[in-house]
Amino acid sequence: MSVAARIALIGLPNCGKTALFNRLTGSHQKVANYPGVTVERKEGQFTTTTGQDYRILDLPGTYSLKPTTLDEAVTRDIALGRFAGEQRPDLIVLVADATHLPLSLRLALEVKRLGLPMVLALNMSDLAARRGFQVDRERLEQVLGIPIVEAVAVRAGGADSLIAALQTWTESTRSSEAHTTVTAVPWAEPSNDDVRRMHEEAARLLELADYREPLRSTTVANVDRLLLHPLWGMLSLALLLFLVFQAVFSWAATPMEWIDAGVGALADAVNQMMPAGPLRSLLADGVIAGVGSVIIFLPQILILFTFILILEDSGYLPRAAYLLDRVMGGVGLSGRAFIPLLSSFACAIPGIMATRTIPHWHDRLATILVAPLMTCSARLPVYALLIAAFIPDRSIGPFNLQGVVLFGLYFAGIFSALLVAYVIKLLTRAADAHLLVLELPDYQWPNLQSVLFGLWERARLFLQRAGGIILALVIVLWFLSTYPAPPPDATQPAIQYSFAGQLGMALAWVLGPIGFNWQIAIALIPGLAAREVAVGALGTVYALSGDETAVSQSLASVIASDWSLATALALLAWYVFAPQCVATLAVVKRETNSWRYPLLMALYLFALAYLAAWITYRVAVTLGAG
Amino acid sequence: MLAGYECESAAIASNRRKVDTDELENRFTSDFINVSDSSVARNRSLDQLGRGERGYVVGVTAGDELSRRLLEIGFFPGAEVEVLASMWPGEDPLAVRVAGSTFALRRREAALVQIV
Repeated sequence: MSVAARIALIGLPNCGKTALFNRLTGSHQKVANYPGVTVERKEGQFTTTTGQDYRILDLPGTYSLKPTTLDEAVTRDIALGRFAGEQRPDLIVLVADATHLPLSLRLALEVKRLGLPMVLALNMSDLAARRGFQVDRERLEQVLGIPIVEAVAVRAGGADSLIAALQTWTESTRSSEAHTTVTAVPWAEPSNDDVRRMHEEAARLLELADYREPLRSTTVANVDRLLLHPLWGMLSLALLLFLVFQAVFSWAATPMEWIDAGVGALADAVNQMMPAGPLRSLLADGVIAGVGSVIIFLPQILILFTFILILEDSGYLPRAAYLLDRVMGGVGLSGRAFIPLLSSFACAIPGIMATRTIPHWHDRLATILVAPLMTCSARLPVYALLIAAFIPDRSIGPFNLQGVVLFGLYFAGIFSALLVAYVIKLLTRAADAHLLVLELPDYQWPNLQSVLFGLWERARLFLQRAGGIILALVIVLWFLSTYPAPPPDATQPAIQYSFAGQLGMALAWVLGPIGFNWQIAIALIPGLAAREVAVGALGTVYALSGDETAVSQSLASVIASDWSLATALALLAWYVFAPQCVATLAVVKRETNSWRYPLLMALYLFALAYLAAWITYRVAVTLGAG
Repeated sequence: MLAGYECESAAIASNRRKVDTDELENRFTSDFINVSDSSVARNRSLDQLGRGERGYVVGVTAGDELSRRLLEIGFFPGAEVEVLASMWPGEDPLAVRVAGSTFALRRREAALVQIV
C-alpha cells in the first residue's frame, strides 16, 4: 500500500467545508489543537475502494491568505509549508460555495499562486440551484486551469466526484514520479492592487463561464427584516433566550426524575446486597450518591446544547452578534465576543478558546476575562439543586417560577459580565478600535446529523468528566469525610470528626458571615476543581452525616430542611461568580501565555463571589429569611 | 428550505443587471461632467447610505488594516452594495449586502468604503 496523500481543505468561512470534510471522512476524525496555538486541528482519513489512503486536513475558513486572526494564520502557514511540525499538503481542495462563487474564485486565484496541485470542489446546495445559480463547469475549468468537481456535501454520495478526482490525481502523480514534498515556496503576500485584480479576473472568468448569480431568497430577506430589526429583532432574541431557559427546566423534568429514581434504586440495591462496612459506604455514599447527583443534570445540559447547536447551524448566531454589537461595544467588547460568550454558557473552556476569532488583543482579553461569568453548564447542577429545593414550583402567569429564577441567575451573570467589561475598559482606557466585519450567512435548516453528532460529543465529554475527574474527587472526598473514624463516645454525626469535617469547621469563620455552614464549606473545596462536583460533594457529605431517613431522601429535600432560605440565596449568588474551576484557569494561562491573567481572574471572581454572597445573605436575613 | 424565492425569471434578472450597469456608467459620466450639480449623486461613503439604499463601490480608503479585509470580502470597485438594516441607536452597526453575501459592519468600518 502506498503512502497516504495529504489533502488540505481550504475555503471561505461558511462555505460548507466542514460538511464536506464530514462527508469524506465520516467518523474517522481526530480533533486536537495545533502545537503551540489553540487553533483546532481537524484531521480525518479515508480509504478509497481501490485502497488508496488519504489524510484530510480541514483548515480554518479564511477569505484570503493574509491573516487577521490566529485561525487564518494557521491556514496560511500550513499552505505555505511554514508551520512547524506540519508537513505541507500534497494537494489543496479549494471548497467553493455556489452562493459565494465570486469570492471563492478570488481565493482560488490567490491559492493557485502557491503552485500546489489543486482541485476546486464546487459545493452545490439545492438552494443555489433553485435560486437560478448557473455556471458552465467545464468552461470554467478550462479558463481557470484547475479541475473542478461538483459536490453536495449534505447528501450521501455527494463527495463521489471529488474522490474520483483525487484518485485521478494520485494515479497520474504515481505514474510520473513519486510526489516529492515541497517544503516551502517563494511567496509574496499579494498587494491591495493584486487583490483587486484578482477580483476582476474572477469576474472575467465567471462571465466566460456564463455564470448567473443566485438571487437572494425573499424568505431570508423577509426573516432578516424581522430578526435584524432594532426593536423586533432584539425582542425576538430576548424571547428566544427566555424560551431556551424555560425549556431547560420544564422539558428536562421527566428524564431527570427517571435518573433520580434509577440512582436511588441502585443505592438501595447496593445497601441491601452488601454487608455494612467501608466498601458499601464507599459505593453507596461515595460513588453512587456523588456521581449520581451530577449525572442527573445530563438532560438539562443536552437540552441547552440542542438549542446552541441548532442556533449555530441555522446561521442565527452571527445575527445575534450584530444585534448586540452596540450593547457590547458600549462596554468595550466587540459584537464578535457574542459567540465565545454564548459558548461559555455551555462551558467557559470552549468559549475562551473561541475568542481567538477576535482579531483585536484588547477585545480578546476582555472577552476572556468575563467569559467565566456566563453561566456554564457546570453551574447548572448547583442552580438546579438549589432552585428545586427552595423555589416553589408554581406558575406566575404563563411562566414557571423556577424557570424565571433560573433566567434571573443567567441574567445576573450577563449583567455582571457587562459591568466587569466596562470596568476593564475604564481601567485600560483601550482605544475604541474594535472590528466587527462579520458575515451573516443565509439561514439553513440545521443538519440533523451534525446536531446529533454535536450532542453525542457533549454527552460523552460530560459523562467522561463524571466518570473521571468527578468520580476521583468524590472518592477522595468520601475518604476525607469518613476517616478518621469518630471516637466511640461520639455524640455528633461521624463526618464531623473526619478530616473534611475538621476542614469545614476551620473554614466556617471565613464563610460564616455569608451564611455558609460547614457542609457547604466542605463541598466548595472540590467545587474548585470542577463546579458541579460541589453537588456531588454535598450528596456525599449529607449521605455520610445523615441518619437512615436522610439517606432515603433526595439531596434537594435534605438541604431544604437543613438550610435557611438566606443561605440558599447566598450560595446562588456565590455561584453566579463561582470562583474558577481549575481547568478554566489553565486554559486562560495557555491562551494568554502568562500567569498574570488567570491570577487576576481568580482574584476578582473570588472577591465578587464573596461580596455578592455577603450582600445577599445580609439582605435576606434582614428581610426575615434567615 | 424555507419556501418562496424571488420568482423573476432569469432573463429579467440579467436584464436588470444590465440596466444597473448602464446606470452606473451614466453616473460616472454625469458625475464627471456636472461636478457642481447637486442633484447628481456624488461620491460618498457607505455609512451615509440609508436603510434600503443601494450604491456602487468606487474604492476603499487605503492605509487601514481593515481596508484590506473589506476589499477581500467583496468591496471592490464596481460591486453593488445595499444597506439591509441598521441598529439603534445611531444606526450602528449596519447589515450590508455585497457580492452575494451579507456582512455586519460598524459605521467606522463602512465609512472606509467610497460609493456612488
